[in-house]
Amino acid sequence: MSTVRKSKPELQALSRASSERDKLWPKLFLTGVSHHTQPLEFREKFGLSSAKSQVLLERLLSTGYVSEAVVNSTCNRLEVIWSSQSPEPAHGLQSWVEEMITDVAEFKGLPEGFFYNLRDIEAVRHLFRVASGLDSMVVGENQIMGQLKKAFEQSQARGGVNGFLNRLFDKSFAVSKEIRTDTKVGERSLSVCSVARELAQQIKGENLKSCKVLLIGAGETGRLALTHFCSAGVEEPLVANRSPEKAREVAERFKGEAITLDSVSARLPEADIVIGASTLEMGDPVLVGESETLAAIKSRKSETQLYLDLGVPRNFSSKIENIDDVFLYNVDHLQEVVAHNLGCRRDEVENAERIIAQAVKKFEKWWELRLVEPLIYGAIENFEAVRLGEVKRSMKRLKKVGLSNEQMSEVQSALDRLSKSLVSRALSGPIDALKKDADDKQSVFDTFRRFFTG
Amino acid sequence: MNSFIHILALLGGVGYLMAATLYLRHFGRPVPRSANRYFAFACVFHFFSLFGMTWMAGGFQGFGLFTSGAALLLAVLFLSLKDAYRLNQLGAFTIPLVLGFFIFSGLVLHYPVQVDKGSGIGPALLAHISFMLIAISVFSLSAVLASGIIFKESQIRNRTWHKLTAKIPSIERLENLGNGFTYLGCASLLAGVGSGFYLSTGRRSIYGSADPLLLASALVLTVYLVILLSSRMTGLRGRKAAWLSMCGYILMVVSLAGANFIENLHVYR
Repeated sequence: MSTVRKSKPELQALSRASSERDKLWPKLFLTGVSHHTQPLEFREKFGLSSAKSQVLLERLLSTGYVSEAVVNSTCNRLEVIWSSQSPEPAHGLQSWVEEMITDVAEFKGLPEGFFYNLRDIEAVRHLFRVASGLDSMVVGENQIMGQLKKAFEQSQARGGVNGFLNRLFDKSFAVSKEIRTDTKVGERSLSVCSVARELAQQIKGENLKSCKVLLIGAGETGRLALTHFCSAGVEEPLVANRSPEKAREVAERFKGEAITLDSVSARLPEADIVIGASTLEMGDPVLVGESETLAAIKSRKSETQLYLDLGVPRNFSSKIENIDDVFLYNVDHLQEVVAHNLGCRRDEVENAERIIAQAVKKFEKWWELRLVEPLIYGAIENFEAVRLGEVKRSMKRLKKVGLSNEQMSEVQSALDRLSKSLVSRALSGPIDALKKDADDKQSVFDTFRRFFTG
Repeated sequence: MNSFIHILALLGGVGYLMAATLYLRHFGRPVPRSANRYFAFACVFHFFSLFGMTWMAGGFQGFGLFTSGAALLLAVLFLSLKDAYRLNQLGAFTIPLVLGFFIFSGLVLHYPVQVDKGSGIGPALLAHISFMLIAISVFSLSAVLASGIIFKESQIRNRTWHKLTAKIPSIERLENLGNGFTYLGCASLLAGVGSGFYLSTGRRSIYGSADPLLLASALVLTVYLVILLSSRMTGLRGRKAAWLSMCGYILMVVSLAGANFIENLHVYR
């Protein structure tokens, strides 16, 4: 590999150009901690409340080091996306931001390298991945998008985002939307209860309003399942539980009817969806057996029934799956669907990464263009001034020839056209070279600056 | 003129083929717009070719034209209902059926005409042909829905989740739609058989009121009525009802084809 030795004045010019470039090109940083790098016991210390995030934002922006900042704090990550035009070295700035974070989180004695620090285009790529849910614990989840939007708005309200972060976040929201539209990374449910609800919708239709749900077991799982079903339109569910008080409490919460465990068989024919979420002891008899289901189906005139067994040990007899017009899904079956859905989401990650790579490239291009734009405008202005001066001088000389006013105006327009065309042709090559991707971008930048902007 | 009509028919066939290929290639994935565009263009070419052929033949007569008309009606019915009832994915089942009818109609196009031109067509014959056409296209769509039910129910029951499972309407929705089409089909078939019976008793059929096609159609009607009654009385539904509906449909296609194919079996003089 050959190296070119530069003379002292050349080096000075280069460093001057670099500092000018840094003025135009803000340094972008991302400092944070997430589930990828730290365990829960550390992470939970950095789950900042909205008020604390505001305090951190305030502290960061109140000094001159950070020009723009957004604090994104969720249960699985705390990330500060910030830009700086300060001449301070990057390492110093990053340590200072880390100190600010630990200070606000009131956590002392962190080991070296606790936070990860990303710069410039790597930070852009990371933000796009976070916004699209690719960096989330559950790949493709869309909650992060709302959290990121909230963080952005919080900073916007404080005046913590200007042109650069504004553009970056706008782009990240657009990329996230594109990924959710063009790929299936956000599709398919990943929780047992939502899969159960989707299953019921596949059988009974999108709106479950006309469906009667019977919940056996009013524990946490049962309540969660009922929440999912009620969100899909289920009304007045039947709730059965060993303890009648608890059944009544849950029934009241979901505006349903509490029934006793003994009356389950009698009320079974009413239910379109039967959810078993009771905790049985090993050896306990099942809550719904084959004969009860057969009787229920008979009195329902074969209208389909869906049995969702969320309990371990199982609440329903496994034999009922052989009955016509009955669908039985237990926890393992639902977990299989969840695993299948997760697999489908992961298959889509590759497509999503491709979209992100394209978006990062576009953003990089915009960033570079932002850097060269002032140079281009400067060069155009210089050339325009020279052109106008030369046209004026030529017109003065031509006046002495004794041309009429009409002839003079014709000559002036011809000269204008000629000079404009010359300037445009003279500048088009160097401007193109400046905009193009090249390995020696820095030298093209400096040469352009030296030759065309004076 | 004749070759122009054949070119139109050829374009229609190519359009159906392109649409069927796209629908099958994107099975379980979003159907590209071009597939529906090819399908619609095919319908337009098909309509004009059918119109031209009917005009050339001096009336809507013969089994070829009848089958072609049924294919067109099925295609139009599907195109107009697919968005409203989210049936897009069932295009993979419908278009091959349309294409099959279309190709079959081409094969039997020059089959002897069963109606004596000299005696005129008249409103009764027109009603008979129209109602039978509606019945066959509506029952075709009902068969498509039945195949959707069988497919979806087996997927859910066997817990083998295909990407298509979530993309077609729920089992209950398919059942309700299928029942609706079966009612409509039964009404049309009843009207078709009624008008056919009127024609037969007018001594225009060589078998009189025992016209084989009418008997077969009455049998098909009985099967469909059994399905409808059973679903109301005993709660027959799901894949059992869907299989029965498929059987009824196959019986109808076979009886229609058979009665029209065997010479002098279904002739109005």
